[in-house]
Amino acid sequence: MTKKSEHSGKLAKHHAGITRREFTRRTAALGVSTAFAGTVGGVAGMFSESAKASPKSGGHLRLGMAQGNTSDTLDPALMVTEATNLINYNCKNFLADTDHNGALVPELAESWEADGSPLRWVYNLRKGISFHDGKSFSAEDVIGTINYHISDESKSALRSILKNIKEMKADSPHRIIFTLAEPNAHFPFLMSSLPIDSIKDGKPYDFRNGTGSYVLKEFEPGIRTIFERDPNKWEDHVGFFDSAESVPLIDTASRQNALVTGEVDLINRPDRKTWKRLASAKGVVVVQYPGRLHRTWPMHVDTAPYDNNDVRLALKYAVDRDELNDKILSGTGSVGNDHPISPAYAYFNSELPQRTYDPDKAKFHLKKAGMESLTVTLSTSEGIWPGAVDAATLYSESAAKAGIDLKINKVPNDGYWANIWLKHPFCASYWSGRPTEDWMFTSGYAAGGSWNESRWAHPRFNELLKASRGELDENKAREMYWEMQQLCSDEGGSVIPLFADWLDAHSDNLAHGELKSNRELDGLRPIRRWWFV
Amino acid sequence: MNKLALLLLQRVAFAIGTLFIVSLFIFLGVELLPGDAAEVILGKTATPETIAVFRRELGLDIPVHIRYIEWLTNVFQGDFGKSLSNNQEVSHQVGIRLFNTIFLACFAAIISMPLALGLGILSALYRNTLFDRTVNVSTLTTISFPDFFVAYVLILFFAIDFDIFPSVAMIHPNTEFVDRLYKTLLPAITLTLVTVAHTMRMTRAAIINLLASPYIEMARLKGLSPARVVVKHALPNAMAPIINVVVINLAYLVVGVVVVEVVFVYPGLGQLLVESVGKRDIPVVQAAALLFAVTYISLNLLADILSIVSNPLLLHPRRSQ
Repeated sequence: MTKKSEHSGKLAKHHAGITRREFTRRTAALGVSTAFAGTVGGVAGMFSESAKASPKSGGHLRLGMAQGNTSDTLDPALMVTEATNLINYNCKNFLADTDHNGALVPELAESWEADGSPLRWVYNLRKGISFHDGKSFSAEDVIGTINYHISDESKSALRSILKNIKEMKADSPHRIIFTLAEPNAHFPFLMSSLPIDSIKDGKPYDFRNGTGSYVLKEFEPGIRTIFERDPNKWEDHVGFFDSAESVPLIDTASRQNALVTGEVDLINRPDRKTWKRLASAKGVVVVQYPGRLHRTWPMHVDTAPYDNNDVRLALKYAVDRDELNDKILSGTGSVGNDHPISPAYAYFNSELPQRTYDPDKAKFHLKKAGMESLTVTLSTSEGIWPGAVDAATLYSESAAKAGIDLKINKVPNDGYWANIWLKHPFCASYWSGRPTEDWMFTSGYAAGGSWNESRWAHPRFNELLKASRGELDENKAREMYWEMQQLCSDEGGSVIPLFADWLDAHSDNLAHGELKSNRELDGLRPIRRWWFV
Repeated sequence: MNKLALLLLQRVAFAIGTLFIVSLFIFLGVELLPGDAAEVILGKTATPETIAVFRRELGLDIPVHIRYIEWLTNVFQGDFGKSLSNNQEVSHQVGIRLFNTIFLACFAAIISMPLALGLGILSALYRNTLFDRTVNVSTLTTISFPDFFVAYVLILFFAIDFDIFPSVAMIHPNTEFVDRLYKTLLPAITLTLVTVAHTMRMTRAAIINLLASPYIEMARLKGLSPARVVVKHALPNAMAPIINVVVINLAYLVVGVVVVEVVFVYPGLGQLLVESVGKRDIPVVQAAALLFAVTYISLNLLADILSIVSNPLLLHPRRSQ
């Protein structure tokens, strides 16, 4: 089934006279990601007709997910798979959420403001909200949740980023003052990734309990999860399905079959190579929307030969990004510019020239590094992202034309993140992106960070990163972020060839509003936000 | 009967020894794999501090041999421990999966074994006819294809082209019996198609082998019908090899169906085992592996007992030397 809006019709026409690659390049140059043009070829883009229809209540949503394992747990410190995050994002609330533009929307917090400087933040919490078990929501829950994530006993991925909170004080049950160790103008965004648990005696007492519009009815890890709408839900604008269930359908063919045969209503991650065929199936709609997910090839900048920036530039010029977007993503993404910021971020540097495949420039930089030829080894594995080995093969071929002998070291997927990533000097990796530029740079590019995959430690970059956190003036902040993107692109240690759009598929009796791009499946909140027509 | 009891005792003793060795090997095997549960579960979000905390929490900082001995003593007290990855009782997790696996295995066996025996007998009876050739060629064809391929072909025809059966067998503890049968029919047929040839060919061969013996000649000379000769005279003596192959296939249906489970998204034990190895979740891996080992050992034992019972020569051995 095909849904086209006027918007897409225009782009489709525009597309007619030019080649695909030219089209990609032009739209990229216009600052329009190809994802917006994704409506070409029968995909409902962000502005599908369904966005205009008014939501209707009722029905039981069946969701088939590419993730979900027997080992899944409800412990919020271990919520590392999207299958369990789905529970967080629909059964619990955040202080604030982000909308489809990436802007903050109040949720459990009514309002917040920096008290003078971005070192102190005052939060006013919403009153009259209770958890599913009847406990009323107050500052205690927020403080206890944060403490749970930052304690010395915590395994939470948020631990390192929340550690910046020096003090939390509730001067009334519904008002909290956060004092930070270092100023952070983006602090409210951190709070948009932290689901609030119910707290008793300073500790979360029931991980199933939340304030969200859906109650977790049944959780059988690796088999199914059942959600039921909370009859006392406090949010008026969400929660249309009476109930929902999600099942892990790991095998891509099985997942797509289940959608085509009507066993489920919605799936994520359809096969990128065959998405057009899936979109042409009766009753099936494929949605594509730009996100922040990107593929990286980090090089350790403290290890020869990658310690020479000319070598890194040669490797950056030696990759044919358009070809990768065509062949690996089948056009469901956009080319990267060797920095992790996509157009979905507020401070995307739209004036930074797009790096393209240029074997001559690559040779030039090799020569500048005093080399005639270069041999490098790239470690990669099939399981880390679809096409990770094929992409390396294409890279190897395009690099050969620039006099670079890029050898591929194919390793097992098992244990990749523990044994290969951060350890091999040149390997494949990915990032699903972060709510802010600051968070993304801090996670992956700040000197000394645990996940600084290229071991990059650029003085100017780190100085800017620190300064930008304290900057409340938007124009000044923009200037800094733009320079950081440029530094990362020109001197950074990572080849970042691709941004992959989110791709979901659903039956045509489902409708949704404009899609949130922070995570797949409408920011993992389809249960709250979607409805049956 | 004495001999039978002795055999049983002997086998049970062996079985316990085997299980012990299996558990030791699996424990060491998982230990040898790169990475431990803490690293694998935290994956890309791990930091040195969080890994250290997690290891301490899971007890992975304790030396291997102490952990193994602890696990072993707990198992002797009937406690299989808790899963490392989600802290659930292993017995609960494995229990649900075991039931599903056995359900599917029984369902497939109920279809495939009578079918295989029937086809085997018929093709022995009508050997070298068109019927015999057709049965042979078609069963050999289905066994020659990989099981996931057979599964996809069945899904294509029965779920997508003619929307008769669901393409995925999503069941849960509350699924009603009839619904369960309906949902698991395609996987059961897949398993039937990939197991029928083995048993059918063995039945056919065993019977044909006997048809040359003098006592069959005698039966024929008495003027008995070919069907009666095969069923009443040849089949009982062909039982031993047939029982063996049936039991091996039953064991396969329990332990070897992980690919079919994945394709049909069927929550069986095989999938659990593979997932748990991936997560280095040793308690779950151990429990699942022991169950598989028990299945193999007990089915083999059953095969031996049945061979003896079905063979009067073995059941009543002569007293003389």
